[in-house]
Formats: sequence, C-alpha cells, structure tokens
Amino acid sequence: MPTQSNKQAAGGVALWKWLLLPIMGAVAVLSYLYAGPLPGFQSPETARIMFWHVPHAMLSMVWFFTAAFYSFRFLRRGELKDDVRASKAAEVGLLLTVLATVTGAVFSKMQWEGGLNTPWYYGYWTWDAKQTAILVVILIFSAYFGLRSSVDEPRRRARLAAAYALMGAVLVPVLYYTLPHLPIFATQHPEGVIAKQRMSPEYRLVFWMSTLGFLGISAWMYQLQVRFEFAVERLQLRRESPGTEARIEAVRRPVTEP
Amino acid sequence: MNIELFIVAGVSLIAVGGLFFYMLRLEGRVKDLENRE
Repeated sequence: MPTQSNKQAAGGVALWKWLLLPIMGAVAVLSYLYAGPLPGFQSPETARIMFWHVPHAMLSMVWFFTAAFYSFRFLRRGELKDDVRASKAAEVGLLLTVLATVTGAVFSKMQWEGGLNTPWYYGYWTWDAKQTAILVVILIFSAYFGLRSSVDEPRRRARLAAAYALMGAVLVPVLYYTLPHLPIFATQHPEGVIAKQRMSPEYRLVFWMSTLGFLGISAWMYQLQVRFEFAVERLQLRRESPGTEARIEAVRRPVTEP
Repeated sequence: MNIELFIVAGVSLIAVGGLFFYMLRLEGRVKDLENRE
C-alpha cells in the first residue's frame, strides 16, 4: 500500500507504480530471450502469447468481480462513490477482455489455423467455444455502459447499473470456464496449462511476473480513473455552490485502495 | 537464439517503457487536477 513516506521517496508517485517498470520490462525481455518455445503447442514459438493473453483474461474477471463488489456495496450503503468505483472497475475489466480477445485471435491463427502458412486475413476467428464466450462477455459489459448512458438520474442509474453488474459478474466465470468445457462445445483451447502445470519453470516465472505486472498496470489505470472522477466531482460541486466547502470535505476521501 | 527474438524483445521493451511513461504523465495530470482545489 502506498504510504506518505514511500510516495515522497519516489517523487510523489507510489513505489509500487515505479516497480511496474522493471517487472514489465523483465517480462518483455524474458518472454523472448529466456522462455523458449513450448513443446506440446502446434506453434511452439508463439505459445509465448500466453504471457499476455492469459493474464488479460484472468484479470478481466478479477476487475469484473471488483465491479460487482462495489455494486453490492452501493446497493447496501447507497453511496454514489461506490457506483463510480464499480463503473471504473468495469471499464478496466472490459479493456482487459478486449485485449484478451485480440491476443486470443492471434493465438487462434497461429496455433489452430496454420499460422503464417495461411493468408494474412485467415484464422483469427473460429467460433471456438471460448472465443464465442469472451465475445458474449464483451457484449454483456458493453451493454452495462449502454445502460449507464441511457439513464440521466444518478441514483437510478447507479441502482440499475449495480444490479446489472452483479448479474454480469456471475455470468463471467460461467462463460469463461463452465460453458466452454461442456462436451457439446468441445473447445480447442489448451486445457490445464496453468492448473496442471504444463508450463516449464521458465514459463511459469515469466507468466506469473506478467500477471503481477498487468495487475499493477490495471490497478494504476483504475486508480487514475477513480481519482479523476472524484476530483472532477469536487470541482463541479465547488463551481455550482461556492459555499459548500463542508460538503466537499464530507465527500473527500483519499483513494488508496482498489 | 536468432536475431528476430532480440528485435521483438527490444520492441516490446520500448512499448513497455512508452506505456509506463504515458501512465506517469496521466498521473501528473490527475495530480494537477486534484491540486486545483
């Protein structure tokens, strides 16, 4: 957790943010120069994409759960700040889901559809069960933002969005893990690579570093979004009602936790 | 180990560095906004 002392030591930016540079720099270099091709994959060289694709997918779920947590908290406490936190968590989750889809499409081409031996436009989308499932997740959470933009009144918008986010977050693990593994769908997606430790020790190291790094980057993005929203809100309050310093103090709360 | 891997590693490193410094810039802008109060 960033404290005043380590913030000052690091030039006003929390130490954990500075640590992201060496971590992700190491991931960028080690992915290619340390983690070799992975046997058991159709294209062993491009198996390295799992250092990007899998953390994106896993972390998108984490951020959707975070959105659900703040949505639940809003429904219980009624504080609009929780609605802001929920919507920003959903934004980060959606961004990571899109990145996971894009990297997954590249993986699909390289691993299942012949790679560079096929035309450049061929093989990115095969309607594989997991590909389809992640597309559905994108649609669900795009609709979340559509819902938010369609309601003007803040509390009503927050209530509807909170209920929707809770439902969406319940669906995410079902779509990511349960449905694609049903026999009827027969996904081509590699199974048990993490859970059954089919990665070499070098791959495991780079993979978990990448997961940690992307967790840090997404947390930083989330924190910036939330701080920005709160700062704009305070400035607006001040402009609209010049004599509301006490109200501003009441809503002021440093955002130091996700 | 072939040269292509070094090139890709270098490009990835530059991309990571670029992203990091962009995030730092955003951090500075948010701080400015917070300090405007």
